[in-house]
Amino acid sequence: MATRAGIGAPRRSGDRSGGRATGYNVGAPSWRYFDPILLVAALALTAYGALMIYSAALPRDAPGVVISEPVVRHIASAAAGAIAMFVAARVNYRLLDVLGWFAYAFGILLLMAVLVVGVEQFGSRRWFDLGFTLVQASEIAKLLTIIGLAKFLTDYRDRLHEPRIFLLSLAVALAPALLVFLEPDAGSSSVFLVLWAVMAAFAGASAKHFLVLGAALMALVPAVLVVGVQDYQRDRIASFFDPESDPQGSGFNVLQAELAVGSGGLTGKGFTEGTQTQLDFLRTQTTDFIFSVLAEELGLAGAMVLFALFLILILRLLRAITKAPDSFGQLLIAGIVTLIAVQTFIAVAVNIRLLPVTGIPLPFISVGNASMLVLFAALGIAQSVLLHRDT
Amino acid sequence: MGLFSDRRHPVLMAPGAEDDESLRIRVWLLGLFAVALFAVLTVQLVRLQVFRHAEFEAQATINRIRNTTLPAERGLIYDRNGRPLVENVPAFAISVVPADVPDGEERRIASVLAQALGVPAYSIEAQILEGKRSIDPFFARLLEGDADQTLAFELSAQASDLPGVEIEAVANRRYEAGELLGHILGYVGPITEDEFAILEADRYRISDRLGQTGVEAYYERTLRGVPGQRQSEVNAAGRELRTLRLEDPTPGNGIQLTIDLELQAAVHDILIESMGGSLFASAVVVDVHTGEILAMVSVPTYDPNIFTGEVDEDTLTALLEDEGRPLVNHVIADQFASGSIFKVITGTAALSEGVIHPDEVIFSPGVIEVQNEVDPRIVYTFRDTTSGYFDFLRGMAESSNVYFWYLSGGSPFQIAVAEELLTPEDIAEQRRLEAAGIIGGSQDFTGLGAERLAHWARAFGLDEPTGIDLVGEAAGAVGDPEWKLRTFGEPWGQGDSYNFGIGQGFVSVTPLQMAMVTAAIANGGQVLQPRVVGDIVDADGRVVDPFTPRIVRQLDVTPETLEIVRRGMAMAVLGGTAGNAWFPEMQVGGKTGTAEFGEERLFKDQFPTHGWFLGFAPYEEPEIAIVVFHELGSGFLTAEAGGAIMRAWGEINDVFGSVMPALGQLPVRTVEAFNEIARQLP
Repeated sequence: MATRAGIGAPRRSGDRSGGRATGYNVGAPSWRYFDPILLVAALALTAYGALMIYSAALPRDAPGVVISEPVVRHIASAAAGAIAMFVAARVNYRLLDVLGWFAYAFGILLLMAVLVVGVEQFGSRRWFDLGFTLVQASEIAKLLTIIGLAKFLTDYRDRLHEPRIFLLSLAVALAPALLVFLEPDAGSSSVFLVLWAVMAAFAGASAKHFLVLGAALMALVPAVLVVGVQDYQRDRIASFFDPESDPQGSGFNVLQAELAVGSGGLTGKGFTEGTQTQLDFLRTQTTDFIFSVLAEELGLAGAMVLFALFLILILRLLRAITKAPDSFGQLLIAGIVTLIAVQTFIAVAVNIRLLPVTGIPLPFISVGNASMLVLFAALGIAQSVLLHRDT
Repeated sequence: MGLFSDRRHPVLMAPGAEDDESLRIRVWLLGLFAVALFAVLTVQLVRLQVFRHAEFEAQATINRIRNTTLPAERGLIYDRNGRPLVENVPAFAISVVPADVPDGEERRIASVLAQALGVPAYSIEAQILEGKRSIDPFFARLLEGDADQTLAFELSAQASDLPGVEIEAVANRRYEAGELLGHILGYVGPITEDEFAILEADRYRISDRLGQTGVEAYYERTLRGVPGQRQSEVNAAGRELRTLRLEDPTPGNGIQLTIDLELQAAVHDILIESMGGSLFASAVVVDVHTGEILAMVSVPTYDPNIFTGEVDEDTLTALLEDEGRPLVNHVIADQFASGSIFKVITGTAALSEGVIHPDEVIFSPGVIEVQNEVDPRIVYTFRDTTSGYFDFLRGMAESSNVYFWYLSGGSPFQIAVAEELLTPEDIAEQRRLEAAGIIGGSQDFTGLGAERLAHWARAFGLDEPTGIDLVGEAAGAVGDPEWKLRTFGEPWGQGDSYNFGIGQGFVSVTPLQMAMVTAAIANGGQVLQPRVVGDIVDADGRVVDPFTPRIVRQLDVTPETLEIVRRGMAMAVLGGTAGNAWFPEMQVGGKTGTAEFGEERLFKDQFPTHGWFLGFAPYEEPEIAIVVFHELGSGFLTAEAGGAIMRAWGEINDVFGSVMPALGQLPVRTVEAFNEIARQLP
C-alpha cells in the first residue's frame, strides 16, 4: 500500500505553488474566484422552493397570505445553509483530503448510530431527533461519502485498473449504502451506489469492470427481490407498476401525483390554484410531492424554469471542475454534481411515475433541514476548490 | 477505450495538454449524463402535461367535484275515497364508505358503529376491509337503513371521529292498511348493488328505497319525484368546502287507488271465512264501465311493513315456506284451467256465430263418446253430471257439459238417443220438441270448432296480459290446433274441442282475466284494461293526470246476445249451479266452475278441482263484475263467497232498495218451473 504512505505528504499533482509548498497548503482563499452565479442559482432554486412550499402549506380554511411554518423552516435552513456554504468555501478543501477518512468514518458512524438511536417514522429508522428538528443521517453521510470516495479514487488512481482496487472503491460506497438499506431506505441507498459509479467512471475506472459488475448484479436481482426487499418496498414497487391495484393504499399518492402533474398542462392552474394541491389530494406536498405542486400550479413552463435553474447550477459546477487544481478537487465537485443531478432526477421521477416512491427530497425545493444544509455545504466545498486553486 | 480513459494514460496527472483534453471529455460526459437525466424527465412531463393533459384534467375535476343527491319526498297513496294508505316516516341511513376509512382505523370505527347499531363489530370491520379490496371502494355499504333520530344524532356528534361513516336522512314507508293491501301497494325496500348499478344514473342513492312490487314498483317514477342535486367542491378528506350548484328536488306525485278500502276489507274477510281446506284463494271486484279494480284480494297475504326495514329472517322463511305462497298475488300471477266459467265465452261465441239459437234444445244423455280419429277402435267417454234437454238458459244454468260440448265440438259421431234409455218425462219432452220442429231426430250438429273458439277466447282478452298496472301479471294460455301440433306434435281432435268448450285442457286463465271477460259481458262487449290506480295528484292534491278508462277492444257481439248470456247467468243463480250466490236484496248473475287439475286422481275418475265463480251485479244495470277462486275447492261453494262479495258491495255502496231484488229461487227442478222464473226476468 504505497499510496497509504503518501497520506500526509503534499499532493504534488494539485500543487500549483511549486516549491513553495511546505506541509498542507492552507493559504488564504482568493475570493475573486468565488462563483456568484453558483450562489445565485442555488438561492433562486431555494426561493422557488419557498414559493411552492408556501402554496402547498397554505391553510385551506383561512384565505389570504399566510407564511406558514414550513416556509419559515425552508428559508431558515437556506440561511443556515448559506452560512455553511461560506464557511466551507473559506476552509481549504485540501483539509478534507487530510481528514478524508475521518469524515468518511464519521459518516459511517452516523449511519450506524441512527440504526440504534434514530427515531422511527413510517416504519423506517432514518432520523436523529435534535429536539428542534429531525436530521436524516443519510443526507450527511452522502456528502461525507463523496469525500471518502474522492479521497480513495485520488489515492488509488494509478491502480484503479486493478479489479481489486475497483471493487475496493465500490466497498467505500457499499458500506454506507448497506447501512442505509437497513434503515430501511432503498432510495437513498441507491444514491450512494450511483455516486460511486459516476465518480469511479469519472476517475477513469475501466468500462470493462463496470460491464462485468453490471452483469453480475443483473444475475443477483431476482435473489435480492425475494430476500432483501422489505414488504413496504414491495408495496411501493408493486404500486408503481400498477397503482390501480390499490388506489387507496400506497398507489394513491402515485396516482394523485400523476393526476396533479398531468392536469397542470402547459401553463398550470395558477399559483395557489392547484386543485389537487389545495384540496389535499396530494400527500406530503412539501416534501416527496413538492414537484407535483409545482407542475400542477405552474405547468410544464414552471417545470422547465426549474430544470433550467438546475442546469445552470450544474453547468457552473462543471465549470468549477475544469478550474480545479487537482484531481481530488475535481472528484469532489464531480460527486457534488452527481449528488444534485441524481437526487433531482429521482425526486422528480417519483412524481411522474418513472420511479417508485423513494422519499428523496428535491434539492433546494423540498422543505429542508439537513438536506438543505448539506447541499449548501457541498456548494461551499465546490467554491472552496475554486477559491483555493492558486494556493 | 470508450467512455473511460486507458490506464496507460493516467487521468489525473499533473496538468498538461493531454490531461486537459481528457478532463474536458470527462466533464463533457458528466454534463451529458446530467442533461440526459433532465431530458428523460422532460419527455415524460411533455407526455403527461401535453398529450394526456385532457384526460388528467377530467380526472382531477372528478376528484374534487361531489354531486350530492337531494331526495324528493315520495308521493302518498290514497284509496278511492281519499283515505290515506301510506305514511312517510323520517328515518336515517347509516352507511360506510370503505375508501374513506383510514387504514388502521377500521377496527376502532367498526366497534363504535357496532355499539351504536347493536351488531357484531367483526362483521362491520370485515365489510370495511372487504370493501377496500373490492372493485369499488367508494361504494357506500349500507349498515342500517332505518335508524332513528336519537341514534343518528348520536353518531353525527362524533362525525369527525368517524371518517368514512355517512349519515343520510331518508324516508321510510309505513303501510297503514297492513296486509289488507300488501299485494296491491307492494312495498319499498333497499336497493341491491345490482339494481344500484342501473339506477345510479337516475340519481338514486344506495340508501334510497325502491318500489319492489305492486303499485310502489309500477308507479316508482310517479311516486319518486325528481331528486335535486347539490354540486360541491370537496377536499381529499371528503369534506365539502363550497356549493357550486344547487338544484331543489320536486316531490313525487300522489296516487289515488281505485280500491275501496272498505270493500277490500269485506272481501278479505269473506275469503278468509270461506277458505275451508284451500291453501289459497283470491277474489277481484271490477267496475264494468271503467275497468277500475274496486277490490283485489289474495289470501294468504303479507304485511308490506315487514319488508321496509331489516327483514326478519324467520318471518321471511315462514312467508317463503307457506304453501299458500303469501307473496304471490294469486289474482294476477297465477293461472289455472278455468273450468265451466269458460262457458260464458263458449256461449257468447256460439250465439254470435249462429252455431245455435238460444231456444234450440240439445239432448244430453249425460255422456258423450268420441272415436279416436286415427284408430276408431279407441273410444273416449266424456261424462257429465247432469242430463236431459237443454236450451241455452238451462244449459248455462245447469252448466251442462254436453250442451257446451255440442256448442264447441259439434255432435259426436255416435250418440245414444234410443228412447229406451230415457225416462218417460224425457221421452215426452223429446216428442214435444220434435213436433214443434225445434229439434231433428238426428241430433246432427256443427259446433264452433277450435279456431273460432280460440278466436273468441282471445277476443275476450285471454292468452295475453290484461295490462293491469301491477307487476308480475301472468298471460294465461289458449291452446289451439296449431299450438297443439307445435307443442306436442299431435293433431287436434274432437275431444280437444270438447275440453276447450268447458274450459279444460289447453286453456289456462288468471282470475283477473276472467273478471275482465265478465265485465265485457256485463258492459255490452267492451274488453277493458283493468287498473288499480285512478287519478294522479300533485303534492297539493290537484289532479295532474286524471283517470281515463282504456278499452282494449270492442267485441263483435250484439246487445241481445249478451243479454241472453247474462240471463243464463241469472238463471244459474236462481235455478242452477250458482244457487249459493243468491241473496235476497239484489238480483245478480253468476257462473260456477269446478276445474279439474293435475294428473293425480283423488279416486277413480275423480281429479282434484279448483273452485271458480264469476258474477256481475246488479242484474239489470250491471255495475260490477267479480271473480272468486278457491284452490282445491268447488264452484258450488265458491259461489257462496261470490254472493257474499256482491252483497257486501251492495251494502257498502247503499244500492239495495234502488235495484231489483232477487227473484225467488227455483222451488222444484222442472222445466216448467225453470221457464216460469226465466220469464220473470226483465
